[in-house]
Amino acid sequence: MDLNRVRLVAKREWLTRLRQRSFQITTVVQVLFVAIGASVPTAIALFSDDDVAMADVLIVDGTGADIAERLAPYIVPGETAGFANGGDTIELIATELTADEARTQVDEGDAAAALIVSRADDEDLAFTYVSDSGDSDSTAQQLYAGAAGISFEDRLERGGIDQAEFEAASAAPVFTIEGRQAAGEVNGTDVSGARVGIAYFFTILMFMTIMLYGAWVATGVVEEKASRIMEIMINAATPRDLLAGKVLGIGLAGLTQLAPMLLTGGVVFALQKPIAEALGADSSALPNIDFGSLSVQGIGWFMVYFLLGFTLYAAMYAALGSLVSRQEEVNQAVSPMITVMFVGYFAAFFTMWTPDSLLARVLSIFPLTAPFVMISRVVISPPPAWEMALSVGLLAAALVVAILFAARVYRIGVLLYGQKPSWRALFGKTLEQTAR
Amino acid sequence: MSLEIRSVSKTYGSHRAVDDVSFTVTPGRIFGFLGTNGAGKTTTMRMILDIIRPDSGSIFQDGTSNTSISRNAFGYLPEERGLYPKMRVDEQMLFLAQLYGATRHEASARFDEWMERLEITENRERLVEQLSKGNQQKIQFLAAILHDPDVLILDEPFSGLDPVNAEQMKRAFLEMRERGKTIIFSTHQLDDAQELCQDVAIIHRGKLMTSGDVSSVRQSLGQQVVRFGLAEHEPAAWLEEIPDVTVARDRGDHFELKVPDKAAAQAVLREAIRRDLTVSRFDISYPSLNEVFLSLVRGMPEESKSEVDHEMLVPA
Repeated sequence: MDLNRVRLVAKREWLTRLRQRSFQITTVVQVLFVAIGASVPTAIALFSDDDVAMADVLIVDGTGADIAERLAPYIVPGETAGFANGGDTIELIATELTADEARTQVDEGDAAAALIVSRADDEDLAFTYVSDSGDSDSTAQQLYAGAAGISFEDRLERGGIDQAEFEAASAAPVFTIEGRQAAGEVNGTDVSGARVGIAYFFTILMFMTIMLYGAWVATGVVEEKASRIMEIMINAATPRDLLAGKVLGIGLAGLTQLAPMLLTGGVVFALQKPIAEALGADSSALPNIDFGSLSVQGIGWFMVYFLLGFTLYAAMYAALGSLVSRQEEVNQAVSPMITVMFVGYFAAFFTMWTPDSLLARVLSIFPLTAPFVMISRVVISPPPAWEMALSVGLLAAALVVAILFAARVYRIGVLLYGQKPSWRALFGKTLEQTAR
Repeated sequence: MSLEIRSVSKTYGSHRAVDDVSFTVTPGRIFGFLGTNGAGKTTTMRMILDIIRPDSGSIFQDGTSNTSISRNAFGYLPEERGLYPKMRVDEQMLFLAQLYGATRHEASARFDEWMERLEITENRERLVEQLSKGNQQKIQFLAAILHDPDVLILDEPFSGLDPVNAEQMKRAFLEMRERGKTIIFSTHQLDDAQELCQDVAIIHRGKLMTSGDVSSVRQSLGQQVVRFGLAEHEPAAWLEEIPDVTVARDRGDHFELKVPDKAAAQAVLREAIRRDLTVSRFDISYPSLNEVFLSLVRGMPEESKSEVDHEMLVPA
């Protein structure tokens, strides 16, 4: 292996990709998307914060009938919004303000809403609910229930029905809402929804990048065959140098595209708590995970499995690509390998809620599926160290075998035009030393 | 100081592409490797370059096996021309020269020199796909020489070139010969070979028919060609009656006669004078490479297609 030649080929591949307009645009767009994606927790917290702001309700009582006090039992304790963790209880505040002053307070955002109570001409209670979101919020629904109850009591009172008897019959029911995270108990493992979300991201990214950059390798090889420059290349350098340079160069191009994206995503995600607080969102509405360590762990393991997985698959992409002569034949040539990748990809999703199942454990150690399944397990529920070590070790070993085999196939394939050889003939040829 | 090919053979399936071929190429001379399409020229050249290995036999450059020699000893112009179409000429040439092992500095100086010599300096920064076909060929030639190889292997270097470009390419050949390079080029255009080569080898169906310097190959048939013209060209049955003389062709204004020696040629001249005919042309030469080639390959049985095993067949 001549490192200087490998470097030359790698540099050419890297620069060629970097100069492509499509490469540049994709890189920028990916950074933007990931920055947005990594901010989802803050966005959720901000959104739930809107509902929390609805909690202060001014009660403007023009009736002297202790409306604020009588409304209180109707307000459901617990959350006002459907989001996880910590919405505030509606707080009713009796005030001496006039109706118009209360309206102004709502307009200026000092209070979430105001309830203005007066007596109509027929002595019945009249309620006006003032809110910037109209009657669409859950506070309005709760206040309506209260208003209905109080009006009923008021009419009974005015009609001379015994107060005590009535109160006993119409006491508010015990109604409790218990806030739970979107979580399930499976196999004794707590699987957090937030972690599954991150696992989704990394698994999809792993699959897309290995497939995309792998396809670059295969089409690159076929391009060189189709343009016949391969004959000169193969004379100037050994097939192994050319293969190594191509995989390295395209791998570097891939990293060049991935690095800004992962870095941006990682930093934004790690800083979700400070960012949410800076934007005035309630940080207790964020998922209960350690953003910093999850970013570092996720990206770190992603890099390990991407580098190993990409190189393994890229070597095979190159070997399969070298066996065909035209671009149209590439897809067919690589399809058996894509099938294997899909198995790993779908298995990763299939086992996300059961990261410790036997299927997940086996497929996260088997080298061809490990990059997809293990990255998902690592994020969701870190497996024991020996499983990680075995998975990485086997993957590295498979990598060496794949590269050696690919170099031999490559050497024969690159000068082969026209008919594709049978697998048996090819295998026989790769075992005998026919050329450099 | 020479390139030696010693009894190399290569078989693809049941097809014997190269069969026990041996020859020697001397530096500072141009060696023509002649044969029809599929004769085994490209396979032999690829074996010299160690792109494929012979089943048996060996190849030595200056006494060292070609399997252990540095890659930059060889320059190669493949029959199927190929470069990265979307890469700039200068970047591509420097890339390939460096891949062969030249330093960037050396390669750059040679690139400038040869771009000037081949009169294509204005194409430095163009993409290869934007060049005319002739200029692409020149660039392809540069790709073979910019790393300053000792041995140049050129597969059909003149195919597809117009006369002006072909002439420029021939001058480049001579320049490389001046610099003491070993040059092998294959062709089935035997006129090119006769014009440029000092040495030739003729290969047919994988077998070496003959090799050596051009004049000895031309003499090898033991025949001479007499071009014999009369002021009044007319059918001349009397020519056939002279012993040892064969009329090979009636060229319209002269006859081509085959004779075994100069004495037979003299007999033709004497008979013409005896018949009181005016001789307008009389020259004696050895058969052209073309004629040697045709007479060597004539009568060889046609190979049936079914003998060729296409399964692992690299174009030969």
